[in-house]
Amino acid sequence: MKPYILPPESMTNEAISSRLTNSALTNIDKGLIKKKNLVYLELNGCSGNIISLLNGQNPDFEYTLNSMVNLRYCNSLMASEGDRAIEKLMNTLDEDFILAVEGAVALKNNGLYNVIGSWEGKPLTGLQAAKMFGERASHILAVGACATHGGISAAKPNPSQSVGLQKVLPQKKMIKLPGCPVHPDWFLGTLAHLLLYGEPETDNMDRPLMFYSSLIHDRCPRRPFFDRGIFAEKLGDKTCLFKLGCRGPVTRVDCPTRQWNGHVNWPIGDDTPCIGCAQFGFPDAMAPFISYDTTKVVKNE
Amino acid sequence: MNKKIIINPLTRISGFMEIDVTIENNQVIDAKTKGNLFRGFEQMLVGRNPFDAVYFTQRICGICSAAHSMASSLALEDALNIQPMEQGRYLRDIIHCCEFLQNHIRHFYQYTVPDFVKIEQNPLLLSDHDDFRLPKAINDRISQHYFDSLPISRLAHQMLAVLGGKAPHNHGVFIGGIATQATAEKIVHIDSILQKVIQFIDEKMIPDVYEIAHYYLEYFQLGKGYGNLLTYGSFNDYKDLGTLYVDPLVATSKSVEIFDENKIQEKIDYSWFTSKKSTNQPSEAVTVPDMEKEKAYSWVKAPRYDNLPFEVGPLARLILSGAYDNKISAMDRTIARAIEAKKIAEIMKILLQQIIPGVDVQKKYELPEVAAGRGLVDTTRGALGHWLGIQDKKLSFYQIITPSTWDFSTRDNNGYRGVAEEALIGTPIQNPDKPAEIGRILRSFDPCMSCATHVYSPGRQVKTIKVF
Amino acid sequence: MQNIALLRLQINNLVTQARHDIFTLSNQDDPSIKQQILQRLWETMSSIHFLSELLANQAMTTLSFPPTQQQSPVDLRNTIQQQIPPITPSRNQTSQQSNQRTFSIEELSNYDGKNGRAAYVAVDDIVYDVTNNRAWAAASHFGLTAGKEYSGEFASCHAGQQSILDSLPVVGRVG
Repeated sequence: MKPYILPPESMTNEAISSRLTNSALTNIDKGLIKKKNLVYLELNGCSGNIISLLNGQNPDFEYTLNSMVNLRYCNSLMASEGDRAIEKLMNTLDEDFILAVEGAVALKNNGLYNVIGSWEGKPLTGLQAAKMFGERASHILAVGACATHGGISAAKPNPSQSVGLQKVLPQKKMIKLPGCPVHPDWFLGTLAHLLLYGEPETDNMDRPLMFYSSLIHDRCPRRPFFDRGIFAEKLGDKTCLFKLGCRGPVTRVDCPTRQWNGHVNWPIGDDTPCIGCAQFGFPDAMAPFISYDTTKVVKNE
Repeated sequence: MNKKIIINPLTRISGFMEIDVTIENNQVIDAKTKGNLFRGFEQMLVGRNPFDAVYFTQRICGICSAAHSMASSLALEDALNIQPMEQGRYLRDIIHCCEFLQNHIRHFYQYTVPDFVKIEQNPLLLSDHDDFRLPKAINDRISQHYFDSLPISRLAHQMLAVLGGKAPHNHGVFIGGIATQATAEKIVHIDSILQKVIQFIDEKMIPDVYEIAHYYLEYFQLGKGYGNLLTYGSFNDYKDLGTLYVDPLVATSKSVEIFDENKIQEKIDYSWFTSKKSTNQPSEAVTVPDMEKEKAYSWVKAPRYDNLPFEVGPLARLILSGAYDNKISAMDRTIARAIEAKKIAEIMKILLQQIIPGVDVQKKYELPEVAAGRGLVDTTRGALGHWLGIQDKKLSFYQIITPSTWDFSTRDNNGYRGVAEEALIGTPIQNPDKPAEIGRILRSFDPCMSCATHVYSPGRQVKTIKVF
Repeated sequence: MQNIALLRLQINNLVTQARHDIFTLSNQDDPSIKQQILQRLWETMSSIHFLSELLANQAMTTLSFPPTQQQSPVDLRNTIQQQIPPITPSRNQTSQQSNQRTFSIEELSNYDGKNGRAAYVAVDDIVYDVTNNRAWAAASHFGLTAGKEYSGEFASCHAGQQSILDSLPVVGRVG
């Protein structure tokens, strides 16, 4: 029952995800979709993705919590603690649930670098939880840079031997949502699509095309400066930030149009270069983030 | 007979913590706080471009990322010998204020309130214990405020993004102040959001915390700790404004003194590290993991000041600034956080008035071959310090002591427990099966284990034995 | 790949750009915009310089052939076009490149993109200029820094993507 999209509806990413989430909500209200269970595992990371989700506006977190999914487990938010929390986590194993994982999987010492709780008298490692729940989930979402490819948790020399979620669940299909942190729209939009239409179209790296299609460079408002070779020499300049180290040309995501925190700003809009946080390889492949010695200086005669 | 209570995970904190408590006659006689996740930022930073540290260290923590960008920028300014313009300081401090507001509102409603308020709107938010004492009308009102607070804390991050580009993990904070220039439009944008946040704090947050306090009076006697307070200074030392909040001070039961950074030590007596000395100054600490170390039980080190454990955080700041009667307890900490939110909002209003639109505080910076610096800033959870060294224009050394390392430190060979550990001693546990007291006292410190356990350390087979 | 017509086209484009910039500069008062235009002129000059060197080298190669071919410009052009392989990708252009600038590995390492120097990388013994290439912000690309040889990395990451190299300006070869 896919609705037709006729002009003059807006075709921007924001409008599409807005329509998606609104129709998800309507259909839930009508009883056409059942609320699904969501297990949100925080592993070896900074828990920044859940904070980013709390910043969501299309829809906001309250609606997600109350109307879209039954959030069954979340270390940052759930009232239960200790054994009772882990019990609630384990109870979902026999049910139908979507698994969202943020943070990388620490492999060192058999996973003991990231213990997320106690279970049956023993430490429950992130590694165990990732495998256990990954095997049974109906859908898996790797949320944020660390879960998609290791991210900052796996930065050289990777003392915790952290890896992305796919490495510990090699046979499982999962949707990857890179970003440091993930933008709330990318996560909640993907979730809405899952609820309404099933799996969204992804590229060959499992990123939903709705959000991760064109390069930041190709939609950057500063592109005319790049094309004419007019480059900034320091932060705060209004021209192209390429010479300072901007990774917009190699980062595939919709920051220039979606922007952040209710569309008030974004890194390049803040006169700082993109550091490629939503591209695989962040941070090591995107370093150095800020360089002043690669801009050319024209000396006055 | 001793009983051991283990809570793992302690939820509604940032990161992963385990608490092991021993009780006798229903009173806590021993406690150990353990950080349970490790990434090793201090190792990761070695060899990197020093400017990258400002963005890299933010990823230590998602809820206080701006704090690390502050400390990192200050450490780099120290190392590169750069004095930021006052306008740069104001703008950067405004971003810092936004992070405070976001954190305090989220910490009170999302992390603390479920401990005292029966939230029935969603099973995820209903606590396990039965100790709910609020009359239904008040209970329901604060339950509703849990949800009302979500747009407000969102707005706090929106304000941050106006100057910082995005939140969490902003781009704006940098050496010299912030990257972009203020404009009249941005200033008004921030001010209009700030009005809404202040209104929420005044009308809902502060009344709510006092309501809860009224029905849980014993928490004014619980969770004291050692009673030593420390602050690196907060919103202080402006050329024209003086000190808006608090100067660098330390207080014990005996005296209040000016803070002296040379007295900071990091001990590893009960942490899984070895080093040439077991006590190090932060700028020289080079520790090596040691999994065979006897007595060690955690990956969190033990910062000490003048050999004593000190508490940091909103309560420490408020008391040291003279704005709060000298009482230290779990409930005082929670109230202090709400009062501080109001204080920070007021400081932010003053700073906004000082902003001159269009001032560009950025320069093209050059890296020295060799340098060392440190950045000390009192942030959402308390005193945060970054110490760094540069060799061949790359980072050769990086050491971080976070507020949660102070508060959740391990014990030391002088017999001092960590602050939070000490705070639990003597607590009567009503129901060992559902020990609500432990979580309430620990959360009053606003733990951030993502921060406290950034250090490189080995894993170890931890046996959690439950004896009931 | 660098045949005479292409080089000529590139130089002419750059000269047009430089002329336009000089015109703009003469009408410009704003010092910050002046700086930007001067910077672009600087880069344009560098590019023209390199291309003219290439052109000169190639002209010298063809002039060293039998005298009958020097008599008319038309004949010269035909001869050159016969002797220069088509633009289709081929790595066996040794005759053409034997007179281009050669870089030792040490010399190459100087071109790291820093402090006003250009950024060069070498793949399969050919040296390319990536100074203004969008994938090489801050003279680095996915953790690789300019001024080095990356045949192995290119083969493993960009297998079958010879077109990437074809779009890069060539400045010489490793030797």
